[in-house]
Amino acid sequence: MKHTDDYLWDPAGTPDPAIQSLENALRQYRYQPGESTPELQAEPRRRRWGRLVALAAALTLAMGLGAAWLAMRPQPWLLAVEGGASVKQVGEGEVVITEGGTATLSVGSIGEVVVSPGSELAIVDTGSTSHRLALRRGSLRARIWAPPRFFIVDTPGGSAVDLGCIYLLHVDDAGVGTLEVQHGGVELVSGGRRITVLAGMGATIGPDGVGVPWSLVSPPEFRRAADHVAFGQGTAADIDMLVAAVDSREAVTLYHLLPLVDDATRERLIERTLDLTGTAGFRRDAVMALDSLALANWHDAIESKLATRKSWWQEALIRLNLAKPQWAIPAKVVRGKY
Amino acid sequence: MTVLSEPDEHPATDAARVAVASLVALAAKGDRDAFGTLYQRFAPMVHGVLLSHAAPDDAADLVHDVFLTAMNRLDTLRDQNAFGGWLAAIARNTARMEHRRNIRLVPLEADVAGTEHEQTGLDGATVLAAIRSLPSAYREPLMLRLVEGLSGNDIAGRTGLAPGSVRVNLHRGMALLRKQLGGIA
Repeated sequence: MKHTDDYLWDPAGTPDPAIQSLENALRQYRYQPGESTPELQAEPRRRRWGRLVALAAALTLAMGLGAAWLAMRPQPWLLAVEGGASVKQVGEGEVVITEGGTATLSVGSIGEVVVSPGSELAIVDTGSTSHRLALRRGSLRARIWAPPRFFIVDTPGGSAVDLGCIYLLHVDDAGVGTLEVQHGGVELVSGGRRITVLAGMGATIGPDGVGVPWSLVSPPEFRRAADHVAFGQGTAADIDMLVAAVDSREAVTLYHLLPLVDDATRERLIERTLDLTGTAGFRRDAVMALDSLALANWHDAIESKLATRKSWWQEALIRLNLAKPQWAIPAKVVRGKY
Repeated sequence: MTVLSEPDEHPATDAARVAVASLVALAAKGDRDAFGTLYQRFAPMVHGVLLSHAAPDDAADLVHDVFLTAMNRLDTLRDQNAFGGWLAAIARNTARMEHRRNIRLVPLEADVAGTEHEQTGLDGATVLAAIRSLPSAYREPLMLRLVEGLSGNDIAGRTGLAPGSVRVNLHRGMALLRKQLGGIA
């Protein structure tokens, strides 16, 4: 049964003047979202037992901070370099340059970064509110068990913000970065643009900003076409390549390109995304108009269609890999200059 | 209206429920961004439920309280797919507790400074009071539809109610509301 014309059921249907008059009279009571993130500014109103609540909150906060401090207490950043016999302590302002070997950097108490040969990695911030590195060239593999957004790696074109994950990051000699996420998610930020790249996906960080996520199983020509379009250099051939996508995971790429293309191309991308994902029930006109709510709902539907349930042993392996290691950093590598 | 594909009785709700469950799972692990997303998506629903039981000013204030309670109790939620219904229940309880504390839960007619709609002559406070006088089964769906502007599917998805029940309650509630307003609407 279709209900698209039932205005009481669907406000996007044919308007019913009587119901519209009620809506107009009641509009003044509609929920008004705050300008900032509501969750962060949330604060319970003071009650008659406000002092008691405040005391309990203070105690809870103190206990929470204590527990957090125990888990996140400052620990030295240690560098072990291939071929060396010792582990060196490094700090803010130092630059790790790996020449012939690999280096392993323990990032305080929150993770581990393996730096490939031929890389240059600056240690920017070892503070208590964030840990920050800058990869100027070369490659690294990060394995982070910190809370989301605590660990950041800058590249020449943008920043990779950890959301709890394992990922590879590479910066070539031209300063172009490539991200590949193996587990969890990474947010790429550049200027006013930000994208979330989830496990199994990657993205390019160009000199002028971030591209769009593409599947790690996509062929190189598909990724290139996506990057061309994302960076405003797309051709008709690139669009043809994109709409020829055959893997459902490539729908994520097409979805992210919607705001970056003209109307005619957007129509084609929507069609192909629908073909690949089979998502239903979303208003095409709203998606075409880039309505944020319609886009968000469709994105959720696409992601849930693509989500694959992992077996218990796959989950266990991932958790084991993400778990904070209980053993010391191997001291067999150490080569580099600071 | 053009739709991307054939609409069904439950469009998007299953997919949206899965997505919400993922967000709830992340939020339960302490992901503040995930909880922030849940806040943004469910705040209108929470506000509409509160408005069914509390004065407008209180409802606006209580939205934060509901989410704070939810955040603190998220680990007790057994079925992540039931987040919407669970949150709506917290909203109702919060409104009831406010009532017991006797904080400004006064009759709407005295509490609400209504604005008369120019063309129809309908006064917002009158309509709001009329909705609040309806049986509770009709009150919340109508509030969510007419005040918050949610579609029937959105109401079902966010409150955890069956779309069929929402449909029936919307139509029966609207019929009662028209009677209450004496044919004004």
